[in-house]
Amino acid sequence: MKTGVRNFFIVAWISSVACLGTSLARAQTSRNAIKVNCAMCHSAHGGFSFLLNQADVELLCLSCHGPGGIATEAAVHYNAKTTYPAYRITCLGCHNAHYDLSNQVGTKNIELVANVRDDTNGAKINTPPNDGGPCLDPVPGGGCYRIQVFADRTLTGAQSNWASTAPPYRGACNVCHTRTGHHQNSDLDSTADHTHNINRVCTSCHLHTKGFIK
Amino acid sequence: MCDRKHIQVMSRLGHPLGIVFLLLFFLASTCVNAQVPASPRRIAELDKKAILITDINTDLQGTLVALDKATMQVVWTCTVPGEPLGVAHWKNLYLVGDSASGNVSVYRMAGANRGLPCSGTAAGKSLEFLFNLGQTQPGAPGFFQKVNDVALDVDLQRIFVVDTGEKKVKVFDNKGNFLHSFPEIAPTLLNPTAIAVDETRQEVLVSDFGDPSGSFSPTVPPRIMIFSYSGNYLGQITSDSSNASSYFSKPQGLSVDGSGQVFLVDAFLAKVLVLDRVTGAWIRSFGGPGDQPGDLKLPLDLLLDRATGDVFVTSNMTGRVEVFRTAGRVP
Repeated sequence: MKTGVRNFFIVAWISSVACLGTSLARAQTSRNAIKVNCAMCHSAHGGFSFLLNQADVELLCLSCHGPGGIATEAAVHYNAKTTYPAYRITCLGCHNAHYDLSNQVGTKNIELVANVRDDTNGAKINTPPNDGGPCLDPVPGGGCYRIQVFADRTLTGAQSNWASTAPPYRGACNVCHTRTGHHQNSDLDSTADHTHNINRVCTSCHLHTKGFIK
Repeated sequence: MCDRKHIQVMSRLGHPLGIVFLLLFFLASTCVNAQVPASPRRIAELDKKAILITDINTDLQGTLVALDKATMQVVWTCTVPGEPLGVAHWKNLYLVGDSASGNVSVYRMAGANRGLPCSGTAAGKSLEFLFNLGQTQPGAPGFFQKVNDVALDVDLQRIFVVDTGEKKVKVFDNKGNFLHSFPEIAPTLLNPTAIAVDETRQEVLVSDFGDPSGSFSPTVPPRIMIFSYSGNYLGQITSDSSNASSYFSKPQGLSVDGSGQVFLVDAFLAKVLVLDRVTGAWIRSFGGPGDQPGDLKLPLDLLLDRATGDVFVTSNMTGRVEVFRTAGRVP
């Protein structure tokens, strides 16, 4: 057997074993939750394939999570109605369907919020290169991994899981925010406050269905 | 103020009016204040000359937009509350499913200040809210858990609504009274999305994602389920994963022509499949993925104009409505 063909089958076998042996993500908010497993994404083109084109991922997510889809609706996070420099945070910027993991403090990381895992297998969000703010966890060669805990979507966890109110600011929302008027993770803007609607969950106003833009 | 994106879209399409508007934008102080599709969702026929789409505009405001079939220019725009999705039109009535509130609301075009405002040729008018279909109490007959698409049989005055959450089609009369829902027995709908009515055969066709669970292939593949108006199961067209031509992945909007050809748009594969209603056989496909004019990206719905054979497709992520002239080949 040629090496290339052999390698293909090895990769295929490893992938299939990994797939079968991995407890993947499940939607946790709806009583109509749909079990998400390998085939849901990796057979989207027909026959089972192990890799997805990176460009297909957002489209694949939105074909279920977009308007008219079968799952909880969501939209990508971009700078509509803001003066913030152009950005577009797509699904993989915050979520990874393979990371139904514990986080670094030993609790369950929910909503698949985290796009990388750290060296202790904890879930993290890999933020863009730091925008002048403090880098909590620098990555060799550049970039900044900000430690992320997202274990509680309720109001109880609003002040830590969504937008931390005291440094280090590691909430799901403020890990990336460096220029917002509220809940930013740096001290670049002395007028920024960390008390904005701390008794509410961020997404009660900043809907994911509208890209978090209010 | 003129909508710059409107001009850009028409110019990109090479539309002569787009070039005219582009000149006017810079040279004149007044222009048509028309809003354009930014995130077009579902589509319905308005009349012989126009189509109707639901949209979330660049201000994240829900709108109902009428587009001229020939020029694809905006005829009028009306603001509607929430996040409009499914849409249907009958006489002066507009049925709009709202994925935010879960209601299907019935409006009529009325004078100013009777509802949210309109612009374009409907300037000075507004959409007046009349009533919601169904009931608002969970578990009550006709309550919607996750409203999705809407279709009408104008002659029989029946309204069909697909509820993705409850996995049912709910049927109402033209007064909004709940009549019945289906299917009540197997085979059931698993993850229904869009709906079409075949008035000729008095059939209801429903796009269904099937059951995607299963390690290497879906437990139940994507399919189109076909029922009689009374809800009796008549058959289905099933996606064939062994054939790249006839395979579909995320079935959304659909239409059926007089000869029994089913037109189905796939949100992920970004193409329109033409399938035989009886055998399920693939006949042909058109459209393809991309970001350029003519391309599709997350297409959610289609409308077949039976008179001209034109097929209109809402391409959600490109913010356009694409027209495939005579792709239905009816004339």
